[in-house]
Amino acid sequence: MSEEKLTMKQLGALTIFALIGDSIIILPSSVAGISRQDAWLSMLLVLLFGPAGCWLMLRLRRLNPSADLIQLLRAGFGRWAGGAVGLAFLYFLVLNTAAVTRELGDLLATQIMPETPIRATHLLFILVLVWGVRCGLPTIARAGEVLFPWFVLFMTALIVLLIPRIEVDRIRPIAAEGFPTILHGSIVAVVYPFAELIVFAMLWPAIRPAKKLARDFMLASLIGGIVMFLVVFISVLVLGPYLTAHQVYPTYALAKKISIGHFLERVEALLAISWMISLFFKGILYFYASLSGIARLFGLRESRALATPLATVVYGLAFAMAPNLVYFNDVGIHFWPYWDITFAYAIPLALLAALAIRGKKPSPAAR
Amino acid sequence: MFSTISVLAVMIGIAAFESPALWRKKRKREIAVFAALLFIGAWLSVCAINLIQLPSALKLVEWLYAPLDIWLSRYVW
Amino acid sequence: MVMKRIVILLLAICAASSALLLSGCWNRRELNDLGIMMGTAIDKEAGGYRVSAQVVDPAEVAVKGAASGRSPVTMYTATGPTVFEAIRKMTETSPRKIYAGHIRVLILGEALAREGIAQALDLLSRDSEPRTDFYLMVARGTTAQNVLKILTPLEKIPANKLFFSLNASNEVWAPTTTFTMDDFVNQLVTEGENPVLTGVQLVGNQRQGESNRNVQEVEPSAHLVVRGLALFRRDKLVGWLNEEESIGYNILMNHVKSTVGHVACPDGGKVVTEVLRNRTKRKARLANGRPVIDVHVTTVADVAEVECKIDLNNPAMIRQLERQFAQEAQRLMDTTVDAVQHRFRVDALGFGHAIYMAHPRVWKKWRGDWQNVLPLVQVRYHIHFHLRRTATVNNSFVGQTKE
Repeated sequence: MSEEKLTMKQLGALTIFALIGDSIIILPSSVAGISRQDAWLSMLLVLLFGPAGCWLMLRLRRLNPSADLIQLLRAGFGRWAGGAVGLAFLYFLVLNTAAVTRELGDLLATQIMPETPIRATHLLFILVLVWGVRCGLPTIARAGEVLFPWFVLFMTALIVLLIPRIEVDRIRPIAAEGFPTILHGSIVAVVYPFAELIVFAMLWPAIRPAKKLARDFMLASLIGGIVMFLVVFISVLVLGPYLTAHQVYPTYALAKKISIGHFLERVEALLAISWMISLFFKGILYFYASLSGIARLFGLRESRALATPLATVVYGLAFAMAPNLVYFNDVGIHFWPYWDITFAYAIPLALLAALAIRGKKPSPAAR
Repeated sequence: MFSTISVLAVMIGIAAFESPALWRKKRKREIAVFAALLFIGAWLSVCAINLIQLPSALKLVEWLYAPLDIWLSRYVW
Repeated sequence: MVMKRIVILLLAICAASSALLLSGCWNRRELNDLGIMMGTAIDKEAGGYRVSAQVVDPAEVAVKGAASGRSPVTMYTATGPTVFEAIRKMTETSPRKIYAGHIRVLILGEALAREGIAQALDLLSRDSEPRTDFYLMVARGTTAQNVLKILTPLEKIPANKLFFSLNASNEVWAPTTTFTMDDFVNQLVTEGENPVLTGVQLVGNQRQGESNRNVQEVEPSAHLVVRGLALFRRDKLVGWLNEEESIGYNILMNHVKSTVGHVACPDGGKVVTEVLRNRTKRKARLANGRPVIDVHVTTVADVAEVECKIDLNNPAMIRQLERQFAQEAQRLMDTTVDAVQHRFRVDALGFGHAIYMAHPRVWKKWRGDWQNVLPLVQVRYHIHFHLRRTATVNNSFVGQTKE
């Protein structure tokens, strides 16, 4: 892999993409399904403790900026136990890549092309993933940097153009659902955006060291969190809590509502493209992380050739993951949050504790 | 049948495409991992193409965390 | 080396052919395979629903082509146990598959409305093809299918005529207001609020309205009028609001954008005002344990038409007119509240929801018995009517005629 490292700007763009990724499509529905009209309060809670998780990832980096998570696991838990945890972590990464692929396929199949078999959509997506990974991480980062302004434009348009349709009464009565429910909603809401940023723990070595890296990373994750908050907020204000919870893709329904002077309307396909972009970047970051993780775990020197076989695994897994969308969403709301919390918060915390106890720093060449 | 054959043909194509470079450099480990991944991928893809339903990968997630979810629903929210 | 080239060539051929085959081939729809449905009508039929689709004949509505005397729209009807099955069944008579992406209006028959429309509407909220910006209407005194059969002058596609007519009158005439699919669903599922839909009536001769002769005369024999609001209890129609009650409803629900109304002059005759801006805010509160709704109406209007001998140069006169108009607004709202509370006993004005928003815990006490608590709700009006100008003339010539 090339030696060119990622700049802060690229890191910021990739962070926001990875954060918004698939959450923008499914999050409003999940959160509103639990906290109803207080979904926005759940998102405010998320803004409080989501970035705290990012702090955890930065601490991992601080131990050794040129080691990735697999190396740290081996250093913290020993070669074999660390390897086992690393293998589980790799499974987490590959499963997430497949999940992102599946979500994109389901979005297209539900809203735009219902008769197209999802395998065709997956195939096209996987092909782009492979191509991107073979080009290398700096290319991916540059692509993210280039596409980022467009994404910002589309997101701003989505939020601003819907302001005429807001009815403030839709969020009342405020806080009527009670704190436990709002907390439950925020647990579900924190994992999809923030916990899944753990992928960056695999990518730290590839990022150019900079003094302000911690600050930039936290800032980017905060911005992403604010965007997610705004999207959920607007969704409840414009669609109402019932429709937000009962639409499978509420942001798509939101995009359908944009109508400025009977002139600018029916633009939801354009916004769907912007979400496909963010889904793509999340998917490719996870894919790249899985690839480099496999290389690191098995002590391989060259991993570019493994992209295609891993892609076939992701392709098959994306299909085999769930027999239908209902099961996928059911697991997604009830069990997946704890799976994410295990890998993004529990294991890193245990790792930090283990490394503190062992009191040694892993060297970059550790296998 | 045709779809299975085409999937296997694609797998062979991938192998033919990527492996010569690895053979030449005598990277045994890489070839082993490559082959393992390719076999798993081929099996999964054939199932995907033929719409064979496999036990979902998410079942593991469900099995692991079902007790936690039940406990939380009953006592916390 | 050669082997590698052959493999690359094969892969390239596979990729190219897959690009040909995969480019949306499953969901490809050619334009001339689409029967673009502009208006949908759903009626009750024994054993299911009768769905009628008003499909555009593109050649007839094209700007350049010569109208060949055929009708610009065609109607396809099918009966099926469910709405989706009926729509698919239409391909038995229609040469094209019905495309629902451009629906403008959905008309529901009154008989169907009385039995309950929620089940008929699930398809349109669930399917990805129709959008949520079409208007729902209930056909009054006739079947929905008959409404869609009437040809209209000025607007070649009758569904468009209904759509634009609703749009226009929603802006400028208080008794009418529009309801989209999302509005209806939200009203349906909200506790303490019941749906209301616009009504459409057929005036004139149905048979003659269906033929081209209708648009060949200066005054058409039959035309469609948007009139009245349909009140629902959950999803069943319970009754209609007349014109005055509809105005009251729209004022109370903050739907009025601009409208026109009159009051009597002291010496006989009428003064008409044009409302430019209107804002209604409702707040629920409790007074001695009883629910009270405060309605704050702020209206800005101009004097628009004077048919009597009043002195418009006198500020005191203007203040008196303001008081009179405020009383008139209150009277209209009162008739609506009375109809809702006593005649129909269905909470169409969202009083229950207002109480829930203000006092959620108190609402929990009343929600089970709301039908009996509703008549006890008191409404207090706080109307601020501001007359700003009298248009271009101060005193009317009506009061100053001479022989």
